[in-house]
Amino acid sequence: MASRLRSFRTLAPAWVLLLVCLAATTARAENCLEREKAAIDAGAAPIGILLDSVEACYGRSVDPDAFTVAVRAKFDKPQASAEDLVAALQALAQRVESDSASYAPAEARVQALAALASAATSIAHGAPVGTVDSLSPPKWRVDQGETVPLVRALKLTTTVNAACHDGHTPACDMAVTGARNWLRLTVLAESVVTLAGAPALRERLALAEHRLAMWYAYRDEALPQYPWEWLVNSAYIGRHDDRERDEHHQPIGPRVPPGLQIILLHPGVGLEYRDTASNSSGKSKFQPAIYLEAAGFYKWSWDEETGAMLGGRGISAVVSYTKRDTLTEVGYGLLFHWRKSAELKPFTLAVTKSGGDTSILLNVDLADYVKEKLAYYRQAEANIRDLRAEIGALKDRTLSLVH
Amino acid sequence: MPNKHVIFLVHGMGDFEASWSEPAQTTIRNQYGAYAQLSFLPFEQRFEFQELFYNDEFEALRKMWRKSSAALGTALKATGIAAPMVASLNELAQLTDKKSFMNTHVLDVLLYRFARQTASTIRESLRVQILKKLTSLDQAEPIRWSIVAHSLGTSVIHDTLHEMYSDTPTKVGEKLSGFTRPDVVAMIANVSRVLEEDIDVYESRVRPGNPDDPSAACKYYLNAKHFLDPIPQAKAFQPALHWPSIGVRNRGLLLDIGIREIEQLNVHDFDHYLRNPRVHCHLFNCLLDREAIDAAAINTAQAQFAAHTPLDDFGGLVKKLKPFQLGEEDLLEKVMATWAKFLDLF
Repeated sequence: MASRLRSFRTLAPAWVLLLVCLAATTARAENCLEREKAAIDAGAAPIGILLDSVEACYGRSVDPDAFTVAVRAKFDKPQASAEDLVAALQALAQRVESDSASYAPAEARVQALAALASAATSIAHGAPVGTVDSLSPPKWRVDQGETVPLVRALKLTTTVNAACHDGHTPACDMAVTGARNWLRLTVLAESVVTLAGAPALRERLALAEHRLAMWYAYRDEALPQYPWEWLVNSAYIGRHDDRERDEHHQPIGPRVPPGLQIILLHPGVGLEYRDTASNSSGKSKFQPAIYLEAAGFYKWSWDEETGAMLGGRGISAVVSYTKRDTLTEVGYGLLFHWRKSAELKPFTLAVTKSGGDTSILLNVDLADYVKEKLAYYRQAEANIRDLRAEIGALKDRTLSLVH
Repeated sequence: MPNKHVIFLVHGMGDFEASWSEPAQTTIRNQYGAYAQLSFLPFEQRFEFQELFYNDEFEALRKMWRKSSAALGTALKATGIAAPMVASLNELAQLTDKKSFMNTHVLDVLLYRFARQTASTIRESLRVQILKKLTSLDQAEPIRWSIVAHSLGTSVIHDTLHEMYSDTPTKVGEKLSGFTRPDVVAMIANVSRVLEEDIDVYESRVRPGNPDDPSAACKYYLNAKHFLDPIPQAKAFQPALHWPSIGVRNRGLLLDIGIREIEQLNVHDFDHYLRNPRVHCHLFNCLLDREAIDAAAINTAQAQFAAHTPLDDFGGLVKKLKPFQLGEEDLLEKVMATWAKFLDLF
């Protein structure tokens, strides 16, 4: 860029002056032709052309040029087919071949024709975008106002500046017309290959959305994680980062969400059922319990098509505490997590040993579920308790009457 | 209508909400409009902004922790087993609810740096936002886009782009760099190196390169750093003289801009950077892919800008900023503590 910038700098005062003068007249211009006309009227055609190279007006949908309109009509339409894109590229090639005087120099013409033919063949054969240079839109772009990677022999700024050094001469007009033709050609070719690559861009979006949905599921549908678990799981993800490495030993592509989560020091609340507990004191065999999952894991799989989290099973070592009058309060055991489908929350059930007793511990979610399902049992249990209390009271009254 | 050149704006650390970028947009627009050299190419005709947003990912995490702590507290209360613990859990839950510095600036940075699942979610979210915008453009027209990122956003966008441009080919498309890539990646107060985790910033794809370089994720890379801004100081982004290559440097595709003017104490502020002519003039030149504002004009604008800064108070401001200066070898604990103290001033 440096050498080109130096050439810009040599013309800088003229540039600045002309730009300031042109600003008022061209700001109102509605399309590239009007803009260029304004530039030509102001005696600054070459500069008008160069500015346009960055604005990319030529060859775009606002360009009323007949050839541009005809080429765009071939591909700029809903559901344009590969044949439409090929036809547009062939039209561009035909134009370069039939109007060689407008596309100088000859070497640039040869390079452009080769690139257009390559792009057309690749599209016709369904080559993936990016596999060939000619299907790469950035390689059809004018680079720093001067050349195009696929048409290296093209020197836009240099040619126009050289031809227009002495003002508005026929040579200058020819150079400006040539630059205009090249700009149209490259912008049209870039537009065609951009459209050819649109499915690839949409596919990238779909893949990114898919992975994002997986990360959201990891956060929202797996077991909830406390901050320390989040960090432990981060370490796990880091250790199991099996992305391939490039030549600079950098990871290739994004991380894929894991299929496993570590459980560590995770507190919870549930209901403990102990069969040996007595109901006589009015207490249920179910008692509230707090528990701590010391360590464990939870695993699931991913639906390859949708990125949805499938199922889920886990196990952890658990310590529980239940307030009971006479029985041992602390229990040790195993806690199991299970989730059948994405629609259901994970269920948690633990089997613990407290002294010689075996207990079943349900987490709050599962306890709610059990509560609903066993409402009948709970009601019956309450009725029995009431009945026992009534019998006790009746017994007491009878005894007092006897005495 | 032809597509406009899309400028994606990426926020830094802090409690940002949707529409966070409006002040930055106004600054860029106003600065652009101030140059007669650019009036030939009106900003609104040429460019459009698209803000990128990732603060919601941090917020979702904070919400999850708030919810689990609160739920545990409520459940414990209901059991009647451990009443004293309930107060502590409620406190814990409320802690993540505070709009405190710890919850916005430092916690976000730490989460991004140390929680890989958070970093991956954010990177994926930004890729979705970028690709959604690009696919919404007219695909029968050339597509131009650039990124201007600030502070934590520089690290986030660096990682996002590296993963995006190193991704393996898909069924219908080869590598993305062969199809589309940002014209400009502008890193304002670049912290990508101090927060680097799985991707080495000097070896990644996020480097400037010619259009025919398939492994360069952008054409121009602009790095802007204020000499007294403590945020990008530790492990500053200072690539070797041959990074990414001598040829690319000679073409002017890497712009490493150091600025010294002080308008306000918060030299880390996004707008403070954008208002500086050395930053925005080079940014505009890169966006336009030519030297629209030449070196002489930049120097003139710079001198005018410097003249209107509070020069009388320059020494005072420097003195206030001195205690926050960091070095290459400073450990992350010191870096975080200094950032916290510095940003706590505002």
